[in-house]
Amino acid sequence: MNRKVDTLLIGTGVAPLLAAQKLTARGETVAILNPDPDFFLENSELSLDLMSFESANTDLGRRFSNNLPEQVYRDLIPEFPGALEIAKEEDHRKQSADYRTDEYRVEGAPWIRSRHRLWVAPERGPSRERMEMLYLRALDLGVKPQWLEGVSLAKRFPGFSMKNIEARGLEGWVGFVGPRLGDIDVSRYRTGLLEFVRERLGRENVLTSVHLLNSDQRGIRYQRREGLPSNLEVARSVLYFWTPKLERMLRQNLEKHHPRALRGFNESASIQNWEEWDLLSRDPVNPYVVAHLESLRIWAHGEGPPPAPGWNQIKVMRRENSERWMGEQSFQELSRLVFQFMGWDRFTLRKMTPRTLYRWNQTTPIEFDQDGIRTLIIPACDGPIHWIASQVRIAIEGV
Amino acid sequence: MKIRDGQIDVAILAGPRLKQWPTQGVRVLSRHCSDSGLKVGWYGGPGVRVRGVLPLESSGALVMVEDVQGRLHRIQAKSVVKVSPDLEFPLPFEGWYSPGLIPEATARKLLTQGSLNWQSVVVILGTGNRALRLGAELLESHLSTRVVCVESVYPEVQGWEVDRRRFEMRGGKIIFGKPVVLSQKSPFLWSIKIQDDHGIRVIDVARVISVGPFADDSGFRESPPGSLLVEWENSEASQVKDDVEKVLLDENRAVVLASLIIKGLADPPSEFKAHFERALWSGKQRLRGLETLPDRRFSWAYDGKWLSPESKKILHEFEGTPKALKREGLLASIECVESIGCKVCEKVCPANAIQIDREKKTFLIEDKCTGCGFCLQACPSQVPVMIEGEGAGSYTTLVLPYTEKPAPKKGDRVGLLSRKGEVLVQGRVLDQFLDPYLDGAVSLFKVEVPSHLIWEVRGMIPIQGIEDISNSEDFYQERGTRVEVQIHGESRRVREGQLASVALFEIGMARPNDILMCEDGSCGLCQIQADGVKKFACETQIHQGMDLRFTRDHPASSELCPCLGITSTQLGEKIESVKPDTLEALSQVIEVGQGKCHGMLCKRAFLELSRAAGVKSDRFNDWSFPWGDWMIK
Repeated sequence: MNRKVDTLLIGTGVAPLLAAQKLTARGETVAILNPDPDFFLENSELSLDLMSFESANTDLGRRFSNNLPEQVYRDLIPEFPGALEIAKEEDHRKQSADYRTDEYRVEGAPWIRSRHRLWVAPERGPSRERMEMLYLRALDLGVKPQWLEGVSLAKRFPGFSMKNIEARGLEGWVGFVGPRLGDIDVSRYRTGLLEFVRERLGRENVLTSVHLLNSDQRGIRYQRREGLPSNLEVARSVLYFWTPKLERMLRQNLEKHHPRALRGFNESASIQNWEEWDLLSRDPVNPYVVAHLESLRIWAHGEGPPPAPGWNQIKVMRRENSERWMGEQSFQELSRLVFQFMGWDRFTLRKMTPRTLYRWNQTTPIEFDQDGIRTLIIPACDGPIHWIASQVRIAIEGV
Repeated sequence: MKIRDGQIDVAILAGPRLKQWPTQGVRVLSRHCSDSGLKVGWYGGPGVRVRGVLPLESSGALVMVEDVQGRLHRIQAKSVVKVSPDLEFPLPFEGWYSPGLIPEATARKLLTQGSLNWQSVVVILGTGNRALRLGAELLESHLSTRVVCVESVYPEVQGWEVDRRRFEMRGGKIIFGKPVVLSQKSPFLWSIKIQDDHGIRVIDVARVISVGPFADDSGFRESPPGSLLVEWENSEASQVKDDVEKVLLDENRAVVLASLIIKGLADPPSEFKAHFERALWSGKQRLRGLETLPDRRFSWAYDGKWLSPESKKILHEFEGTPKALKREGLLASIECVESIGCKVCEKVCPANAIQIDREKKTFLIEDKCTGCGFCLQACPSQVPVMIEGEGAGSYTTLVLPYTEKPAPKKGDRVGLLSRKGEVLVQGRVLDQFLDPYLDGAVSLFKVEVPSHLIWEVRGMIPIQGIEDISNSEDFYQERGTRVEVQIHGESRRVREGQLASVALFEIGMARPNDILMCEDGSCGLCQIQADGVKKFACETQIHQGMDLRFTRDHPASSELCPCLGITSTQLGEKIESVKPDTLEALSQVIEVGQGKCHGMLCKRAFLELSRAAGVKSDRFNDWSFPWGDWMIK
């Protein structure tokens, strides 16, 4: 028997779930098809904005304001069915040990953390120039950046240790402390959302491991990994959410139905590769700073309520220009970070995950007709999840 | 840090904690792959440490290998086979993560290197062949006077009938029930509670050894499908007879796995194709024979002490037993009625008198048997016996394999045992039968047996009491001299040159973190401070005057993942709330297996509990990088 829905959503991560929430709130019937075996395998979704500026023309003010903790909260809360908690350094300091118990908080909720951004660069070199420009622009914006040098700068770094401090040449480093920006637990947010969407739509309308076969005027024909082909009639539109995992499928679709849009897309999006390293430290790590050291982003990794003292896991994201994962350059940069800058005498690698993201120049949805069905491709469904949430919201409002 | 780049077709990698390298399965796999023109590399063994695998989006994977000089090699491989050891832990119960419960590999290391007290009762969790053989070895060596194998997962014993027979003949007991609590009574005494149909049994034990199996052997798993990235659990036996069924499975799976890889990567020459197809066909046939054993299980039936008439009929009709005994001279009787895949005796028989084909009903060719005794020495289950001159008089001669020490001497009276270990009658040792070409690990004894019991007697036991060799002076002397070390400032005497982790077990100070004894530091759990330097206990040798310090606050744990403190209940709640379809998804929302040991303790239980809760996990391979804690200096 054919099933019928108003809108069909095809995607891999959090984007189709957010869209489903919006559309069902409007009273539409919706189904989600995910080519992946699950919604948790999308690795292009981030907890924070990595602030990788490609050009001097980036609207810095807008970028900062989009990432303020309050804005992150505003972006994420409308579609989320439960509570979102906010953790700030000053709250933690004030209430220290009683923090978890002295007021009503949902420990199992996704937590938005509020962390200062710290930009660091060697005193000599091209990266200092770029950083100075950033500092001046931040000054102009009135976010009160604080310029620091040498040890006083390094002390603000997450994972900094005082060991052998004279021999490490820290006086050769400069940087500034920027505004406090927000980040969120991706996994908890996605779990909460998925749980609610599944309940609302029913498990039969949230399907994974789906292989799309073909489409005609009546709808979409698909097959699950273990099952017979099925038809889904679509009354209004089909929405694809563009993430790196769906790239091949979407390119084939565009090539067939809308080749001109494909050319436009090629110009508007480029691939960024990041290596995500989890390191362990024996020294305590400051969980309220995210550091930017050239191609590296460093912060105390964590999920849920503010960490207990002695927190010592650190996450390092490293921009990789080619696809040479774990190459010589990666280890050199990690070694310099750990031994020279942070002053550890050894480090333990806990995990390394490659992540592929897009860098988007244009984020307007692509609309075309696929065998008589109105089809939209929503770009920019990767990156920080609060960014994905706002992108999906804007796109759905236009549908 | 300089990194050397390389490329290869098939990378076969030794996973963490793998002791034997290359394994028998690896040899077969690499031979087949290289015969078909593929470039194959083994990475493992002393000095070569595989750090992990990073699957690539396009195809294949990157393999990071650290060599003996600490140099890193980054190898791009089209196909990767990660070979893991067969590490079995039961589903978590109260106190399971404690030095009272050790895996088989640790137990074997303590048996060979340590002088631990195994008296009086040892409980083995699992009833597979390895469990039954270990139990029999403990009893034969008199290190333990009582061994109990506990089957907690399956409704019947998992090992072969021949191994069960050997175990029970030595006095081993098998019970069915689930372990519920393990608690410490003193440094060398533990108490285990086992829930069975009648209630809870409490057994005071010297140690609990976890052997398994606790889940079906899944063979190799390719994940993601079609990627040619495979995880494969291999036997670590150095000789086929140490773990015959698993080695046989490995050998035949290697052929099937090789075919998968060759189909994906190579275009073998046409003359090789026919040979390869034949090998693949026979590999699959043999695998089928080995894997479908549960349908053809066999056990002897008894009328009191004696074999029942039906069992006697089966025995006499079976092709492995001689039909016409010689009046003079010995003839082998191989009473291996259960249809198992083992053919060790066939391989060692110099006269080609054993030709096993169960479908054609051929086994022993009596005319060719010379009575050399090779099959008795080679059989891992000690099944064959030799019979001489049935009906020649009121007594007949039987040759029995015997491994216990001290061995009886010529003329000694011995108790003659039935297949289930009951003493039937007394007999006399006529001679010790040893072939100079064999290593003598299994001694053969000629025993005088009443003629009417020639088909009943299958073992012997000395009548005089066995002295407890573990209390004798020689037992310690042969294992080195004792030196004084300081443990938290307290003086202790332990044996020089032994590993600190073994020493901690011997003096009753072992921690839960010491139970894996991985030798290569791959679990990263057993950290100690030796003479002020942080080291792993499993890699540190004891010397005179050594100062040892370590964290002692490691209570026994009932948690599923002791590294991160995650319980089975929390896992259940997470599955209930998230309803993940796959284990990959579940791994994203719960951190089981992401702690210090990288899942060595909990991965198997995590898979089983998730599977029981309906999460698809049959093809799950954890390719997270690196495989174990990797410390960079």
